[in-house]
Amino acid sequence: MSKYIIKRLLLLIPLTLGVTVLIFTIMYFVPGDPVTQILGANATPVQIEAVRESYGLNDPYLVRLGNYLKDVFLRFDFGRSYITKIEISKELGKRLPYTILVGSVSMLISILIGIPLGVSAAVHQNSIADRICMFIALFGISMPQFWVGLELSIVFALKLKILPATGINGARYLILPCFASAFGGIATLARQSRSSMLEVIRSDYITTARAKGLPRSKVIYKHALRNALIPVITLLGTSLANIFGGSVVIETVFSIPGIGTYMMSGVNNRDYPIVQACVVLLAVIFSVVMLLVDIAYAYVDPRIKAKYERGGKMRRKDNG
Amino acid sequence: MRRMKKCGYVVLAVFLLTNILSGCGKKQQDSDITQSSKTVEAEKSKVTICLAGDPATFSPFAPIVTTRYNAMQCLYETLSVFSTAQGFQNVLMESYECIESDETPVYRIKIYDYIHDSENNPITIEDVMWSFESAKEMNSIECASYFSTLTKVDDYTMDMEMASNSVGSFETLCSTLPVVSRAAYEASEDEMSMSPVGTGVYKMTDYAIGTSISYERNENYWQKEELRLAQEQQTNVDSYTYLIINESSQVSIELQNKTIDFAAVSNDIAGTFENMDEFEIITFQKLGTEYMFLNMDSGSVFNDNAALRQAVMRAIDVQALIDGALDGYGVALKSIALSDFEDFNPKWEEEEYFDYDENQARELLKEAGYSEGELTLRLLCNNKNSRDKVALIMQEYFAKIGVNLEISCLESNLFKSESANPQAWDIIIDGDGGSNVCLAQYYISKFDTRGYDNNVGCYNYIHDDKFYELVKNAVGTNTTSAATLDELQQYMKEQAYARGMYSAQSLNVGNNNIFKTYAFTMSRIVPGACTYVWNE
Repeated sequence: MSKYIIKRLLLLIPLTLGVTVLIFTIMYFVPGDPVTQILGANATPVQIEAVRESYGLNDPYLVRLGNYLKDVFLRFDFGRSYITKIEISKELGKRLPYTILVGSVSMLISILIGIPLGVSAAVHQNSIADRICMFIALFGISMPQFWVGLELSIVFALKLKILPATGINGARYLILPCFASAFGGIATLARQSRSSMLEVIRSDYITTARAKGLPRSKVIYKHALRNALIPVITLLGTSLANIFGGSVVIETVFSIPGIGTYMMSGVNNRDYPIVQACVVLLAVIFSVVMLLVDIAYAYVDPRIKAKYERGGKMRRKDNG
Repeated sequence: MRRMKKCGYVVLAVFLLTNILSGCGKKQQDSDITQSSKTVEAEKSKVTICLAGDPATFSPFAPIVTTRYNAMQCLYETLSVFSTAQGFQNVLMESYECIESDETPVYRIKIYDYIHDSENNPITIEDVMWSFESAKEMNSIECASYFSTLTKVDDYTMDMEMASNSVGSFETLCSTLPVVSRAAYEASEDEMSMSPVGTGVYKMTDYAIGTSISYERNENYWQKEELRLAQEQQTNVDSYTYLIINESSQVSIELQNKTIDFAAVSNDIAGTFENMDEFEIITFQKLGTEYMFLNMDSGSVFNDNAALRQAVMRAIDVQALIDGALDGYGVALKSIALSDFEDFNPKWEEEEYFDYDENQARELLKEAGYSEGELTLRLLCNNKNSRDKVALIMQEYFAKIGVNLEISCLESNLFKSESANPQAWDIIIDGDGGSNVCLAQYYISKFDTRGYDNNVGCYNYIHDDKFYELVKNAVGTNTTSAATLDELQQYMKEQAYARGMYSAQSLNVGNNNIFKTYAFTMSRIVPGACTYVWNE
């Protein structure tokens, strides 16, 4: 198992490298000159040339890419913002905790609500509860995040006045953005849990468990749920990735100073180093999350764990 | 029965969850209400203002953008300030005189000899020179290139030679470049990016990235009470906070919740507050001009076709653009800039300025050699400040005279690239000049001959030596006069290369329970100069 984890961690290197090259190339070809943004429309060609030279923007593509890769992978330096001249790594360090906090809490909410909702719908298939759950799920998938966020603000901040609409100065400031961000996740998880659960509870071993006279709750939560969770776990990874990707919208709507708003400002100002750094960071986070998901499989499904262990033993035998 | 029971449990659980969430919110909310209640009895007066974006840095030499300017205006000071209401007013500068007025004028500037910043670092002329030179070296503030040399005369006096004799350059320079103590700047680990130390009337007490910025009155302010004449030197409130909110709907919610007391808003949001007694909608005339430029490059349809230019100019009813796109919040222009400037000639108000006349436009189009429906023009604009709406209305007006208009409304950075390509457009609508100090400056930024030589400054590639001669005379410090400006105005009308269309107003909403009067500079609120209920 440990070998597998190490192998997956090593795979992160080419993956991050690939993402870095890709985003650098995309930003290279994006129309719009960052120097015009820095100096204003009335800058003279001499001024423009001086700034282009100082940022290395006149260098050929391969030289620029090489320099960037060297800075990122050898010096762990994302450079400085073209506009504010602030070190990007420092800024990311300040903002990342907010994005991770909102993302993690949103994920937790998605799990705590989505999975029980799906299980309950499956257990009571075709009942009113099932239809209500599936309506919520359909609604959650169909509604765009920004709209959900604004509606939640209108209800809880403006009408009921029980929650703040913007900012992040304490736990209760997390409630609206996290629920808005989790809404899509709840819906997806509920639908997936329901269909997995329906598949599992029709299996022979569940019929056998019931026939043995095991209590209903034990059959559902111990025997059925554990097996039904495997496809749900796969979905957890992509849901978390969606939540981090959606941070651009949620952070803008709720004025949260995270990676999303930082990336947005970078895009608007053609501040390439910021955009590149944010995308690389999000790619790394996504890769780590997917790795955690794969590890989680092993803990949920003993067959997968056994496969890893057997694979290791067989390799050792072959070598021996 | 069993099912009913379960439904009952679900309802109960939801109810409990709601109560838990509401309860934990409510308790905090109460304390917030206490905290944010800004009554006259409060020990320290405080207001909260909305800021539309994070300034990201407080470095005095960072590029000027609206949000950063707002966040820094009370921290750092300039030699002087300018607004159409208060004119040109000295702040750090005690006096100035023009000692040489040739092609590159020289100004002798004397600053007060008792200036110090909030940390008691004295400010001498060397700090001023260092600040100016640093700004120039960093290349981040456009007007820093307006001077060529600085020469120290004594500890509080210097001579500044300008790079050109363009009118308004000196005033813009003095009212834009911030002055900080070199010692304080060099002692700062982050170039004052997060820990600004300035001579301003307020100092920053807290900055939560992307969330809020708090300020309190600088009790150690250097200037004597009787000499604090500029509105930027007033401190009518003990402390204030900028809450950073990007989303306009959230701004409306926070205003109604009284979390913020003042915000600049869009037309749509302002409408929400029209019938609310506790709020006031405040309009402020912006200085910026919205222009319409016709492409005068050699391959353009407008080149060598004065009748077509006149037809296009007269095909649009500017007042309809203001009413339709800006809900009436704007002023139609009679020149290249507003009539508020001192060098605006009052007689222009009475004269015709590309007045809307559909029939005349149709005739001119015929005279230009085009029949109805034959001509298709490409309009380029960015998607800011309702220009997309303006473009759509213009399309309707052009259709009336039989001209097809293809609109290309781009994101602002892409727009900048495209506008520099003369093959990409026939007409541009764009704005400029929000911080100009005189009307002549509007010609400098868009039609300056030096700019034309560099193929950057002249927006619409005019090839006309007479025009540039007139611009040169109108914008030179030695030659500018009512006569030269009028000559240029008349020539612009005759040639119809470009026109000023309208100047928009900024819309703001303020809480009547807090604010009594509002003070603005360059369409931005100056919290220290507003008056509040506690000032009565």
